[in-house]
Amino acid sequence: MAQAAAPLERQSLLADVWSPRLSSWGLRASAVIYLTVLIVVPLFVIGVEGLRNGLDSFWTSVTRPAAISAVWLSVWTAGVMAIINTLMGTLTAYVLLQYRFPGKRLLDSLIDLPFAIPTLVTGVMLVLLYGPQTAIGGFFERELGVRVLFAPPGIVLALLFLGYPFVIRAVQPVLAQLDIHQQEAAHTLGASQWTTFRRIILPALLPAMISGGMLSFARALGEFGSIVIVAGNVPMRSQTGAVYIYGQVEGGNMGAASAVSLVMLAIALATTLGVDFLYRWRWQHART
Amino acid sequence: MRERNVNSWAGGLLLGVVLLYAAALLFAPIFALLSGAFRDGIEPVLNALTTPDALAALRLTATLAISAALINAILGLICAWVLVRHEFPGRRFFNALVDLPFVVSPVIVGYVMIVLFGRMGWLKDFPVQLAFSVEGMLLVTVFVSLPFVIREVQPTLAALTNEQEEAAYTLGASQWLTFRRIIFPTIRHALTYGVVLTLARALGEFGAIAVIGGGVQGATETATIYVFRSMHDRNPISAYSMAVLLGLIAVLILVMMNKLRPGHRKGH
Amino acid sequence: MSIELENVAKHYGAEAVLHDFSLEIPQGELFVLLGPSGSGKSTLLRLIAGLTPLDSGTIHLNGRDVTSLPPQKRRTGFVFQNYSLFQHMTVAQNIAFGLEIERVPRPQREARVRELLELIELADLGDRLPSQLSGGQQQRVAVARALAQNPDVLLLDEPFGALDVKIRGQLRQNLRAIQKQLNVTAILVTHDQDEAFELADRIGVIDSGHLLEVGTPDQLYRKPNHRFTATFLGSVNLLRGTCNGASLYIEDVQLPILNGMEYFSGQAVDVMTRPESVFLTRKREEQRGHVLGRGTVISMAFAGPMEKVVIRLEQGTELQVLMNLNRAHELGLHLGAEVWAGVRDYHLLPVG
Repeated sequence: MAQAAAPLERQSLLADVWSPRLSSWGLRASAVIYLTVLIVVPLFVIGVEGLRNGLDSFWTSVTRPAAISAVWLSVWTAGVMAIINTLMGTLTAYVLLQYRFPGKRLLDSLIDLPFAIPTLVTGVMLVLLYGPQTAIGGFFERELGVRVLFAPPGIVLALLFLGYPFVIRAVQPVLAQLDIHQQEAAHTLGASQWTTFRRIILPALLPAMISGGMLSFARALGEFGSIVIVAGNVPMRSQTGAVYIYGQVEGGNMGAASAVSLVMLAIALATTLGVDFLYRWRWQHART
Repeated sequence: MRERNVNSWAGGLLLGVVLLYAAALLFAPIFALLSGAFRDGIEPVLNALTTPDALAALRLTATLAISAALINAILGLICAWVLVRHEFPGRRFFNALVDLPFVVSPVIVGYVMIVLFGRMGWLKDFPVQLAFSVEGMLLVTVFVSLPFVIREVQPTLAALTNEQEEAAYTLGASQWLTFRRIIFPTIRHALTYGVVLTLARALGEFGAIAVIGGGVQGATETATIYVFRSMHDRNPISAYSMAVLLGLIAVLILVMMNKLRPGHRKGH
Repeated sequence: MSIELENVAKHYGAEAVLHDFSLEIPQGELFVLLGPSGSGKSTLLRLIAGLTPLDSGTIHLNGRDVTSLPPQKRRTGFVFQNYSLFQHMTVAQNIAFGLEIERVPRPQREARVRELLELIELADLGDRLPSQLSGGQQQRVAVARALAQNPDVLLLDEPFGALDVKIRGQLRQNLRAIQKQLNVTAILVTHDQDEAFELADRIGVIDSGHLLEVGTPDQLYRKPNHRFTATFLGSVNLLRGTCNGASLYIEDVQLPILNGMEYFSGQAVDVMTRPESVFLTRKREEQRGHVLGRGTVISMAFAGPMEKVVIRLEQGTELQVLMNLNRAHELGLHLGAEVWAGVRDYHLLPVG
C-alpha cells in the first residue's frame, strides 16, 4: 500500500512544455501551500517547542524515568510486533499464493481489515477477547499469573492486529512476480520445497519483508487509540510513549510533551528514512 | 495456475500455523465483539445507537470524514500531479513529507494543534477558533488522512505515457479536456481507492481528536470519542454498540477496497 | 535404453495434451522433439523431468521407473527456455547449487565448477551475476548447471529461442560437442527445423500431442511417412496421383513406381518432391529425369545463392522449384517463360 518516500523516477513531462505558465504555477503553489501548512509547519512547531527552553530542559524532560520507560515500552513492543509480523506475514503471503484451501478468499479479503477499522474498535475487541473477565484472559491470569490485558502483552497483541497487513501486502506482489521456473530448476537440481524456499525464494523476498516490517514498526510506534484502551496506562509499567505524551498535554506540561514528541518523531522518521534508503540501495544493487 | 493442494505434511503444518494465527488475530476479536455486543439480543444495541448522543456523534463523524475525504481528494490529486509532473527544487523533500502523517502519532498531531492554536498558543488570535472546535477537528482529520490519495494516484500517474496525451493534443484537445477525457479516466480507479482509504482513516481518527476535540457530549463528540467515553463511564453496551457499528462500516469499506484493488493492482 | 516412455498421456481438463506417447532413446543420443507451438512438446519434457505429473503411462530412465518420483529424485538436468538462473547467486554458485544439495565437499565442488566453466568456455566469469552476462553466456551457464550432477538425461526446452540468430549457430555446435563429449542422453525440444537438422541424431515429429514419426533427419526429410512431416520440414511439392500396377499417374502423366513403394498399388497417393529435386529446362530433350510436363514461370524470388521459382504446369498445378542462381541465369528465366519440369526422384505419401 503506501510506500515510504519512493524514489521519483519521472522527469518533468508535458506540463512544463505545453502549459501556460500561470496555471502551472497555480497548481504548484496550491500543492506546496497545502503540504507546507499541513506538514512542514507541524514539524517546525515540534522542533521549536521541543528545544525552546534550551537543551538542558529538553534533556531533563527526556530523561525522566517515566518518559524513558514509556518510550522504551513503545519501542520494544513495536519491535517485537515487527519481528513476529515479518515472519508470519511472509508465511501468510506464501501460503496464500501457493496453496488452495477453503476460506482462502475470505482470508485474503479480511487481511486489510486492520487498515479499515478504527483503532479504538480494535481496542474494544481485544478487551472483549482477552480482558480479565473473559475465558482467555481469566485463564492466563489464574493459571499462568500473566496479565494479558492492561499489561505489555496486551499492547503487543493490539499492535500485532494493527500491523498484520503490512508485510503481507508488501510481500505478495514480489512473490507473485517470482519466476516459477527458477524454483523448478532448483527442484530438478535436487532441492526440496524447504531448501528452495530458503535459498531461492527468501532472498528475493527479503527487501519487501524488511521494508514491510519497518513500516509496521513506524506505524505501531505512535499508536494510541487501541493502546489507550488495552494497555492500562500505568506510568512506568504499561504506559507507552504516545499515552505519556497525552498525559503530559492534558496536564499542561507542554515542555515534557514536546521533548518526548521530538524523540518519538525522530525514531519514526529514522525508520522511514531507513526504509527509503534500503529500498533505493537494494533497487540500485539489483540493477547492476 | 501456481496454486495447488497441500501435498506434504510440512505444507500442511505451515498452512495450519498460518490459519491458526489468522484465526486468533483476525477472526477471534471480531467474534468477541459481536458476541459481547449482542449478548442480550439486538434490541439493546439498537436502542443504544438511537440515543441523541449516539446519533449526534455519528453525524459529526460522517461530516468530518466526508469533508476530509473531499478536501484530500482534490488537493491530493493536485499534489500527486505536481509531484509527478513538475520539476522544482525541493520536490524530493516535499515528496518525502507526504509520508509523515502516516508515522506521526496522532497525539503529537493534537499536541501541535494546542501549541499553535491553544489559549496560549503561537496563533492564539487566529480568526478561526481551531482548538477544541469542529474546525480544528476537521483540520487534524485532513492531516492524518492526507497521504492516501497522493500515494495511490502517484504510481498510476507516473506510469501514464505521453503518447495518448500527445495524440489528443494533435487532434485539437485542450489541456483541460485532455485531462478530463484521457487522463482522469485512467487514474479514476486509483483515485477512488485512495478516497476509500482516506475515508477509513478519517472515520477511525481518535488520538488527535482526543487531544483537541471539543469532547462535548452530544455536540462535538465523534463516534470514536463516544466509544472511549462510554468505556470510561462504564456504559459497556453503548460502547460496544457503537464499536460494532463502526466495525460494520469498516467492513463495508473493506469490501469496497477489495472490489477496487484488483484493478488498482493491475495499474494502468 | 536410456529413456523409455510407454503410453504416456496427459490432459488438462477435457483436453488431451499428449496422446499415448511411446518412445525409446538409446544412451548418448541427441534426440530432437520437433513440432509447432502448442503441440505438447514442452509438456512432454516437463513430464520426463517430473515438473508436471502425468495421467497415464510409465517413464523409465536408465532402467529405473521414475513415474512416481518427484523431480528432485529423477536425476535429470533441465535447461529452461529463459534459463531461469538464480539471479541473486553468482555463476559459480548457480552451477554449484545442485552439488551443495548433494553435500559434495567444498574442494570437489569447486573443482567440478571449474571443470564445467572450462567446458562452457566461461572460465573467468565465475564471480559474475547473471544480470551481468549476455544471453548466450547465460544459456551456457544454464547448461553447465544442469550438467553439474552428471544427470542421466539432459532436457532442453527451446534453449536457443531467446538468442540472436547469429549466436545460435555457434552455441548449437558447442552444445552438440559437449553432449557428445560427455555422452549424456539428451532431448531437445524446438519448433525450428534447421535446429533439428543441425543437432539431431534422430528427430521425433510431434503434432497436437501425437508422436507422428521418428527418424534421422535425412530419413524424415527425404522419405517421411506423414504429410505433416513433409510440410513441416521445409518447402515441399505434393501432387495428387493414383497407383495402378507398376505405374503412377499424376493427371495424365505416367511415372514408374520406384523401389520400395509398390505397396501403394491401387491407392491414391501424394507424390512428394522437394523444390531442389525439380529440374527445369527449356526444351523437353534436355530433361534427364522423369518428365512432369510443360509450364510457365509465375513468380521468381531471389534467395541469396539460390533462386526460388514457382511454375504453373499445363494441368494447372503449381510447382515450387529451388535452383542455383547461376542455372537460373543460364536458363534465362523470367516471368512467363515457358519451361519443361522433371524430377529425378520422388517419394510417395498416403493420402489422408
